Amino acid sequence: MNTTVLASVTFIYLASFLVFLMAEVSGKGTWARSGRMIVITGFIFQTAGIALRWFESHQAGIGHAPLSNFFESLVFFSWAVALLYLLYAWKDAKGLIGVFAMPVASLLMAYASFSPTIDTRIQPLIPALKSNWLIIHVVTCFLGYAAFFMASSFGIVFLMVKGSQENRGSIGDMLEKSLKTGFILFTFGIVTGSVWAHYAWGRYWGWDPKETWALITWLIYAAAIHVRIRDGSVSRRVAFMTVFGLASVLFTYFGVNYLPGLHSYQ
Amino acid sequence: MGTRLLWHMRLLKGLSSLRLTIGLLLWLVFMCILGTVIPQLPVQATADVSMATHVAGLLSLKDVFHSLWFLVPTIILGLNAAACMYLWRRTLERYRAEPPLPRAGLHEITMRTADIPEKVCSDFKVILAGTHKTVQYEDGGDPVIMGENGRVRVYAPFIVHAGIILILLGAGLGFLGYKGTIEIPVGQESNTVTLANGSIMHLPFRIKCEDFKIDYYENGMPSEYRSELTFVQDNDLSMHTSVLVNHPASHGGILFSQSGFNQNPVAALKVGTPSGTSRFRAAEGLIIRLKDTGYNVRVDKVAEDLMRMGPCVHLVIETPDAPKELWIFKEFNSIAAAHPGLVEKMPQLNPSLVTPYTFSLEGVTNSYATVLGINRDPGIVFVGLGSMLFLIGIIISFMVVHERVLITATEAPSGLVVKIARMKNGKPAAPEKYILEQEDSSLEVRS
Repeated sequence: MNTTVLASVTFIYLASFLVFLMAEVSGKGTWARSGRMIVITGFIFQTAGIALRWFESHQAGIGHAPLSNFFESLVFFSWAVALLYLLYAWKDAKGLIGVFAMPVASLLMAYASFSPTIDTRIQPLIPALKSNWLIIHVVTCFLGYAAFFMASSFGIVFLMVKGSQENRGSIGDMLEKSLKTGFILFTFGIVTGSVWAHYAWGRYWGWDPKETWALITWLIYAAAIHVRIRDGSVSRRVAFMTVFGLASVLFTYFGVNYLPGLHSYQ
Repeated sequence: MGTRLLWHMRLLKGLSSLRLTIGLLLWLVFMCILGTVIPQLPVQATADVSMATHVAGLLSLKDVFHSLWFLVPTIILGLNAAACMYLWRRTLERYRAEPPLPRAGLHEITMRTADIPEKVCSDFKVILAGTHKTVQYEDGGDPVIMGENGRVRVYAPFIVHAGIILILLGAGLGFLGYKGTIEIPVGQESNTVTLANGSIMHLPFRIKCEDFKIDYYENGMPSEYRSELTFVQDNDLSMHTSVLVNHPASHGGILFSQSGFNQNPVAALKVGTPSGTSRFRAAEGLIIRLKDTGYNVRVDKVAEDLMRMGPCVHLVIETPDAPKELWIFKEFNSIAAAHPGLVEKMPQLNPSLVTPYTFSLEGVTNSYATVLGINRDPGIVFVGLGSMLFLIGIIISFMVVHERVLITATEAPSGLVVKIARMKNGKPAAPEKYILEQEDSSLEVRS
């Protein structure tokens, strides 16, 4: 049941993307408002789907938060992107940010729901995942990923918008907010992951590919924040670095699965 | 002395520069990428290698995270943070308790009032006190009211950089510790640790594995691994504890975690010989020397259930002619009864193939050995403290706004001139409306 509800979200987010696209083409605010309403509808469905999956997990006698396998992480990543879109781009960004954010949220859901290689079943936890740190680590990391994704979306728009610094003002502010939020959340995710690794594997850091790539992502965004401090405000260089950082986020999440390590999704 | 000070300050400024920080961070990004792209060799033991080999190892990219290419920039990053903290004292001077009114970004209000400047400032102080922490002082003879919020943000860079330094210090101290594994068969004791670099060390106490258990879910997936351990110090039982995944134990400053296990099936073999019957308990790899002939029997494989025919052991017997292979099944009699002529077709199943012996298998049992992760890390407290400081620092830095509102009043021919300056995070900002609208009917506002 939960997979059916979650699969439907793919099409709701896809519809919002098309409506945002219309908003950009037509320049009419009505389309952008409709797009945001569709996003809210999808977000409610997705939240309900996640809650239902958690409930069904308890019904099956397994009873764990739906954050433990690749399918569940994709769903949560998509949910986090939609949440941060609603938080950061609700008022100011009109349809433009939705054109970047919502197809990604939709694609993540499509990959989770329709890829034949992804197991959508609720599985019991392996011993290493049986920890209270699972929820806090995964939630903070994925919210961090989503905030970095939003920062890079704002970065792309910032680089696209022509004109003076003032014209880019609100985009720059949102970029900075999402960059800082992402940095706090991702740092929290790395720290909680280290504490968990200390208990589960007996060491807080082991240069596992996932850990190393998480550090790479963290270093890139730390550098972006220092560039922001040096330049005095969000500049083209900062925007470029957030876009560069997105590549690292994607590799940290997807690419590392192709490297041998303790974090690879099974 | 002056030249020395200049040199000292130039070095500090160079070390604390943002350009250096950014360069180092990006260099570390590059090295980390190399560390995941180039296959990394395990850490090598350094005790028995020459200095030249040791230096070559430090320059090698096959162990990036222990190479000079990674360690030196990391140390410079720590110095960069330390220099920032040192120079941060100067930045603090800008935030001293009684700052002068800034020259730029002032909002001026001309008030047609008979009140004296002190009275007007006092009124503004009451207004500001509702939302700000206020102080009153004089600047060039004029009274100044300062309202301030979020002063803690001023200390955020110090907290963040202190956190980084503590993390790096803790990571450095970690090199003084050791990591490794210890394998203990159930019912046995050990103090022999295989370190990450392959060398062997002995703990000052012994660990006995009383039991090792694996619990399973209904679908066959393992749900828990549990080792029951006793730490033995000077032949006294000093502590009994359970170690599970996510539930390590600590003893003598060393962390013991459930790292894995090894499963060793053991065959109970019976060998009939002219001089009587011998019994052996044999694990894979064991070599048994037979009485009477002196033949060596190597136990090649022990299986609990081979091809659904039950317990089985594969033996290789060194005879003078040639090595002979034997597959001995526990249920040989019933297998042979079900397949008449089997021994003729497949002589390697004949328990009496090698004269004058007759082999039989009485059973196969599983013997577990727990594998514990060993970690002694003297820097972990520093890393933990540094991480907490860093998190607190960035939360303060990114979430708290340091706001100051400075108000002064002076008498002028046109009336009483009130000057207002508002700074957010050190940058000029427009005064809030509620301050400008206090005397709206009598004000002439000019920014």
